[in-house]
Amino acid sequence: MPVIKYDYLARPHIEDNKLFAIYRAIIPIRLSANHRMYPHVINCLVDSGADFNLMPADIGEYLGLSIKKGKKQIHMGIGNVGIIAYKHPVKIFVNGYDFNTHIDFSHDHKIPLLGRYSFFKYFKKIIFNEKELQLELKY
Amino acid sequence: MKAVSLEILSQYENLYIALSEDRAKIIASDKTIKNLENKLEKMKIKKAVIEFVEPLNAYLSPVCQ
Repeated sequence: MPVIKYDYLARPHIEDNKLFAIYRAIIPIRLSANHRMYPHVINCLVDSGADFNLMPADIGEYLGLSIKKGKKQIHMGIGNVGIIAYKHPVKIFVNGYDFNTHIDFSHDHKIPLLGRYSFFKYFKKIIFNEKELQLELKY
Repeated sequence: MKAVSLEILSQYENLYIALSEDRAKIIASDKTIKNLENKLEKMKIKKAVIEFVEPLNAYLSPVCQ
């Protein structure tokens, strides 16, 4: 079973006026849709609490997608705050592995998220190794 | 591979950043991805790594922001 491993990335956090690292499962992906390849790598949070992939609409617009023509979805977060997103078919490239899936694009969302039903399900196993601060994607 | 330090990243709170391909430095930033893409195009940079730097005083939960 091929395995892709990524170290968690240290990202800044401030508490009690002290700067320290929060380690997050952020991975680089490439993206294509509408017969176009997004030119840049996108660092995404692998989010087991998210049902579906969710990304800023700007990325989809760059790919020539008419965002609001996608299927309308409501994404609910902590505190019952909901945002509207629109589902579009895409291809995701993770290292040497790629698959066709969907991303919900929203004008109200900033952090690119990879969720369970449109990212996790394309892998046989995903391990959040909290001791080694490493994400393992087995496919 | 040398990563960008926490001190430097912390200067980009609530912004999208474009990292160099080797992730060693931040080459551009902006409040929106669209403006960041335009900056990269003007700089003739064809490939970068784009990331959002979250607010420094907040934790992430299953989040809609």
